[in-house]
Amino acid sequence: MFQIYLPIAEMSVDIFLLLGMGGVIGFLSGLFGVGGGFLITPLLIFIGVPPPVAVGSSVNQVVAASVSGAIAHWRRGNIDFKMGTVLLVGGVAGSLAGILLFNILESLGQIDLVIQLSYVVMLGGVGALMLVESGRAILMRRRGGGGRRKKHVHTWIHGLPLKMRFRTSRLYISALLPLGIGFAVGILAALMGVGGGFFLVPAMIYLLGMPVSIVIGTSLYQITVVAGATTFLHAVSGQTVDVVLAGLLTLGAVVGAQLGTRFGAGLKGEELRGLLAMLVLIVCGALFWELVAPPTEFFNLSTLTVSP
Amino acid sequence: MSDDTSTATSRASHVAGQVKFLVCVDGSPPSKVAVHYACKRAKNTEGRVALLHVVQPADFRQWSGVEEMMREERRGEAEALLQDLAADVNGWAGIMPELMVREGRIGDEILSVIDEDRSIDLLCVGSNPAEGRGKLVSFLAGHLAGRLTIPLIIVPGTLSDEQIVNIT
Repeated sequence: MFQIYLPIAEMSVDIFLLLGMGGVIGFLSGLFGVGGGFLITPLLIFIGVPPPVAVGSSVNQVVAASVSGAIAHWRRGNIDFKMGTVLLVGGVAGSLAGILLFNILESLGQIDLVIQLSYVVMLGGVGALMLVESGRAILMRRRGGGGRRKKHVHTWIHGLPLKMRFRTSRLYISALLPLGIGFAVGILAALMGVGGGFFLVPAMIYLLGMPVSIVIGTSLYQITVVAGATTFLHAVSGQTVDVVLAGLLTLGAVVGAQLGTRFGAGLKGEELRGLLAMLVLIVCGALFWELVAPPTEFFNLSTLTVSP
Repeated sequence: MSDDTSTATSRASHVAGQVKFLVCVDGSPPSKVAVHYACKRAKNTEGRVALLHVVQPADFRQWSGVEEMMREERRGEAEALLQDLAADVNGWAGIMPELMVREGRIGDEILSVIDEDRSIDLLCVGSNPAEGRGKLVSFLAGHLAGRLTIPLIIVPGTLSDEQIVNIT
């Protein structure tokens, strides 16, 4: 009905379908407090957007989703800028490496498969881990409170060179560690179009030992900058960022996120976690099915229209 | 929460001649002035002081381990804050205050503490006149006024030590 032509994806889509998808993604990210990148790429693939364009446009949407959170945390003084900057130097380097890999895979014609496969693996892993974790939490509650975890245990990690002092995080650790974590997140952003908070946040807490109150703001700061750089790199190197697509999704997501946040306030943590784990596993299953299902038409014939 | 029917009856376990102050603290300078005021009055009336700090519930995090650590961290900060203030109370009034940490919405938690502990006679909060009505004061004066069964004292954070001594 109201078809709109996406210039980069080279296809026509109903404008309300895109706005609605953006709304649903915004609702879910507001509800679960996640960026939503992991939902956008698969959904775009489902409606027929080529996977490279889905990744490039999704990472653009991640910038929009995380920037307001980053600003809010900055006002409250919850960002360790020194740590965040080391993380994002690693992140931009990782993003560059990821883009190179992306282009190599594209020239080999394998990029679609790699994107979908890495999504199946990532979503499957994250969903399973979440289920295990919430199951264990329920068991712990039944048995009655677990002991406190020890936070600062000395391991080989503390023997690494290039030590730096991070005042806000009250840490004195090797800069190689945040650089490496940032690098991994950068690759994820470039290859999959996600912000990577699901990996970054636990890594900063458990591997770096940062205080949780600082971690959330610092991770949003890193994600905003790395996703921005990745969007730019994708647009320049592969021309895979569809501004019309990303803009419409963002427009819907802004409205949806407001509703999601309000709705989520009425739900308990364990319920939310269970729902999120289910959602992740459903998307994973659907992507897996797309990969292995036999095509409905093995071949098709059409008249070639050759433009003069 | 205890039963609602008896909230309006007299404070059951009130000790004759002893006034118990509940001070709501958050680590801000005005809340410290409120503690100071309550201490001086408690000292002069041989009363007691209870400090309450309400922590925001941890927001939802994707990983429950992360959420749990956030909760632990906030609880640790709250305990450190109350320990500091307890030392101040000891200096000002020569008594050890009761310390309470609650997690939840601040207004609801104040009400439920007052409901549960019938020996509390007065509620004391600090305000910052420079910033206009704070969130807590607005809430207590507007929303809570009808449900509060004990007097509420609002102590402006601008009071000097001398002024506090004069009015207690």
